[in-house]
Amino acid sequence: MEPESEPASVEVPAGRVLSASELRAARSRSQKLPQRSHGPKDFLPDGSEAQAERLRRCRQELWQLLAEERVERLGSLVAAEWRPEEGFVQLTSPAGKFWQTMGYSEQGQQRLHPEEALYLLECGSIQLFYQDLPLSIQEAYQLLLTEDTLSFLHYQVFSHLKRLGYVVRRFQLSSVLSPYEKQLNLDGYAQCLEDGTGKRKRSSSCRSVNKKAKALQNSLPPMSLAASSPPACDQNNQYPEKPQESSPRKGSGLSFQIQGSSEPCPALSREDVGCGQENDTIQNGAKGAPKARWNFEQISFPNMASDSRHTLLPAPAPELLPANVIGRGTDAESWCQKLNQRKEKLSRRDRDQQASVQQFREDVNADPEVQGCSSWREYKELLQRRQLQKSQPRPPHLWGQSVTPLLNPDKADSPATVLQHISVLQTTHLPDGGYGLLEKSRGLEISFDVYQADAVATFRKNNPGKPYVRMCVSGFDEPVPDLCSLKRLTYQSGDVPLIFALVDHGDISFYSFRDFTLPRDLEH
Amino acid sequence: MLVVEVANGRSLVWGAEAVQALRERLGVGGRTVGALPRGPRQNSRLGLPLLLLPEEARLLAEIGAVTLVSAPRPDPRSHGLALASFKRQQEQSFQEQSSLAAEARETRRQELLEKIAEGQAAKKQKLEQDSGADEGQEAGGSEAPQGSTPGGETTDDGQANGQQEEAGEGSSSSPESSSPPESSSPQPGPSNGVTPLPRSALLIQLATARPRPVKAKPLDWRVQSKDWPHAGRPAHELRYSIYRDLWERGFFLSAAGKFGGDFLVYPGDPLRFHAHYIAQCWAADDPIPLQDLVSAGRLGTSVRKTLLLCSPQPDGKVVYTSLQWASLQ
Repeated sequence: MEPESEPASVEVPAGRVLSASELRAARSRSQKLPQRSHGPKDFLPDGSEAQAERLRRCRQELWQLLAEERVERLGSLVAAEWRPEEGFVQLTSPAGKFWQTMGYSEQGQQRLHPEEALYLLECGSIQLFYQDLPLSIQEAYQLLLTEDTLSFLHYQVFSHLKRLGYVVRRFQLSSVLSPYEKQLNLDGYAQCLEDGTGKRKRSSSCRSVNKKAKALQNSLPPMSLAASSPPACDQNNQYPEKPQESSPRKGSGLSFQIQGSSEPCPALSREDVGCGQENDTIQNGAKGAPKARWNFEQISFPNMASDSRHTLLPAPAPELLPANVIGRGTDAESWCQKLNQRKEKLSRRDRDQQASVQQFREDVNADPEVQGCSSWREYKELLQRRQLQKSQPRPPHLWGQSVTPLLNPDKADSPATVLQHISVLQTTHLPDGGYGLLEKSRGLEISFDVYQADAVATFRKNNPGKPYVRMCVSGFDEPVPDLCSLKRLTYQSGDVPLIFALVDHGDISFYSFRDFTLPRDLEH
Repeated sequence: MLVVEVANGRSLVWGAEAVQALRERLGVGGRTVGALPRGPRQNSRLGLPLLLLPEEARLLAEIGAVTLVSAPRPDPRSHGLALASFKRQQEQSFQEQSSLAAEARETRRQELLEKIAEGQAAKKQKLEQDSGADEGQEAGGSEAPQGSTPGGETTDDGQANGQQEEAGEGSSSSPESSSPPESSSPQPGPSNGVTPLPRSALLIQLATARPRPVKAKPLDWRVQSKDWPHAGRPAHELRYSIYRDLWERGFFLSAAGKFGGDFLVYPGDPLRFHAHYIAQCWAADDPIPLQDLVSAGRLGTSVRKTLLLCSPQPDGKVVYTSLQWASLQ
């Protein structure tokens, strides 16, 4: 192997190619795996013949095992082709038994991810072609395990888990829900939806959904800058009041607290059709007009009580109504006449009961001051005045200084509440606050969903259910993930436990972080 | 001269003879990380490729036992040639396998001939003892073909059973049906030509290593590059000096991440000996925090190995300190 004149290249010798007779002989080799070390190990090498003999035998078996090549019948191999620019492997002959748990269908083709294809190649189930030439395992490792598709460490973890029998799928980011969606139990609903239609292909819709979510997230921040006065919260609260057609589906105007403007986006991302419309309405809301809050003082509600009846109701303005609804004016006189105005005749027992309860109840209307109020505002002012009169003046030596009491005597009912008031650090759980960190997706990511081995018989790729565990892969010399990443990853994982697989030169160890709550002082 | 391909800082050995030479002659073990062909769905014994520590690869290159090369990319120019030679090789293998299968079937039939003849003779005797010779003749005539069809089916080319999956392979079924009438005579002639092996029964080798030679660029481990990012890194240099020193003393080393150290030190081959030491590498002027010392001590005690704190000195020697948990009684 002498270096040649031009950039000194070395000849790499070829691997072993079996002859026809060797191929036939390979079918009848033993299938049993020998023990690694025959008998208990020795403590120190003592140069004895017996030790050397045992060592020689162990080594001999090892070389024999390693030298064996994979020999398969052509009829039992599934042909597959590696597509480097798209990053997947396409099956060119129908898939075998592995199709139940591996691979995905897209555009009428059966496809495999690179790690699945490599694993099946090592098992001897497929024959992988690249430009019509079958790939050896060495070439397949080189071509399929590049940094951008899948790294060597990921493949080691994947194959380790597969050999143990687990069903391992790639992690789907679209299955991550926002806290609002979890509140609404949208995960259960979406599952039914996807099962019901049956046409929704998970992988393609995931990608399109991710793109839309990203587009929306990208478009919101600049819009909130453009709209000077109303913060995003206000905008969202306005939706049910504004006559927008698509708002009923969104329903986010109902009472809940939004932490940031990014929250509605994943909710939007669930609806493919509504997305475009929502985007437009957000833009209209931001750029257009002034906040259209209703001025209740100028809206008069007709009084249909018996004292002064206004029963002629005009048709409502068409812009206030939903799309397909036509309003018309009515005369409610006929309805009012149907009201039963007669006094209720109570039986003697009911009357006695009412009288006994009546003693304890104060009728607000009997108060002359209340009768003097002619509108709600005046009544509220009356209440405030009464409140001020009731409250005692606070002693200035306690409340006038810079240091004021922590608690009122009526608020301190147990030591636990007192301690709660003075606690500086609050208990937090690992997924708390993880949602806000989702945008900062740098560094460690969840790689795989792992399902248990006994679920193989009932495993359905389109509806795999909740994974047993989720896996993050890291090397041993990389630092321990910081709290930010931990929170983000735990949040993404939801209620599925998260496990970190650390690969140290071929050895894989599994670690996980668990939430732990410190015991609290019991209340007396 | 052994050649080891390096990609992205990882050195993989793909040849079984190379692995054997490294381990037996040079005392470098590495770790198998691939699936074993004999049992690809278990984790207790793994197969090729062999993953080498960066220190192991560098040592082998330094002593000149191995040439490190950057893993070569497939060359589009040689693709046409490779494809043509592959197709030729495939056809040749197919022909050879067909002829071998036919030969095997023939020898099998020859072996069974005597048995068939014996069986026929015995039958004849038995039938002559019973009455009703005519029925016996017919029974004898019909049993001979049945006697030969199991013989024909149990040849090594039992792959013909597999051809039931293939629809249009009626060609091999006709030889099966035509052979019984032939072998009903006590001396069947040679089988009707070389029965073609069905394509689906062709045996294919899924090669582990690249089946054709290729040219690759040698890698200089002194220079940092994309394929060898370790050069010049202080952590790597530190570990390497310890590794080299321990190797020269005759120990066998492997990775010890699980034990909280840098290397596991064996007195001999790990196949037959337990590790004696866990080596932790510390730079000469690095202060060791006391907690680390305590945890290292605990670690060694709990796994019954001695902990070695190793430090290279400026003069090139390596100083070792072992930790033992002593009780004060």
